[in-house]
Amino acid sequence: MNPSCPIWVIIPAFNEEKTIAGVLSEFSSLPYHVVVVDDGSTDRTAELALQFPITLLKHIINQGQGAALQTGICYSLSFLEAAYLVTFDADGQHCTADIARLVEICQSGSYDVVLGSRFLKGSRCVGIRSGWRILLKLAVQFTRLITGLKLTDTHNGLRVFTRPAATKLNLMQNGMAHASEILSQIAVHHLRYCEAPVTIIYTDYSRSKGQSIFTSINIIWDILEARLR
Amino acid sequence: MSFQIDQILIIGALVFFVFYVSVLRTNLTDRLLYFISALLGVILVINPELANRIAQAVGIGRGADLLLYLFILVSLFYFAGLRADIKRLNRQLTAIVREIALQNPQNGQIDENNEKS
Repeated sequence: MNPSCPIWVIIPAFNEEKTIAGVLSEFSSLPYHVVVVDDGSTDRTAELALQFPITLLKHIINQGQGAALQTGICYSLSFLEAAYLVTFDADGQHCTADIARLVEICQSGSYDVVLGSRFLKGSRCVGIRSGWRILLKLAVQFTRLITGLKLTDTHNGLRVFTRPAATKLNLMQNGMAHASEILSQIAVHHLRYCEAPVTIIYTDYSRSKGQSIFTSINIIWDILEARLR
Repeated sequence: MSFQIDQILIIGALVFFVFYVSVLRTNLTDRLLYFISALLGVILVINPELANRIAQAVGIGRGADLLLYLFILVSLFYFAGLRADIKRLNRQLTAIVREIALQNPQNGQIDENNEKS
């Protein structure tokens, strides 16, 4: 890790003792600041994470991935050197090699947000089930309807924000609906965005921790319920 | 396509419900709503003939049915209000949990062999 590196990677983690060491070891040879937000894990996630040169923030009670991301964002923004904030999953689905490419697109100055997509030309999506692919395609249409954003992948956890863009984020959705909320806030704040192809690797483990049709129903419910005053 | 009065009332109640829980609702409006509903309920129970007349006028049928539907409607408003209050409390809880996390960052082990300059 390079103390003056402007790239900060935020990894929310909840009970990821099986994958966290593998994920963090990939960052060992990279210069990025890594901030792991342990979201009330009851396993050895925090203990294993602290074996690596990272910063660990601990939620004493599980709040949800959205809340963990926002905590990581708040922490990173408190450091002036954090110029690019990267969100990255702890379940081993993402590849660290994609970070540099996404950051480079941000550094061009043309975009405030770069969103990873597993459905663009040049991306790789290993081990995805056809049912899940259909669900993600439906999510794309739903997002287009709600936010107007034209995307190919609306639930990809690998994203890069410039610092000014990250300061505009204020995630109120603690659960999985945060992914949709991020897109809504991109639209509301008129942030310049683009997608870039990334690699997503599904394993039996990540599939077991991932979302199902029922989570999708919960996400839609959360989005609608957010309108309650 | 023609609508009957009861259908219009149902659609109107649903539209008002959505508008109320997303825009209008405050502590004061909640209390007014519950007070007026309770008062209306008491009046209709004391005067069942009035309930019957209103029910027949809107095409519902019996006064008892009218009271039941009003009870369901008021309950929906109440539960929506409860959900909103719970969500507000959860946001406050998240703020507290976040503040504790931000005030207590921990640094992991630094492997000097892997440090990059």
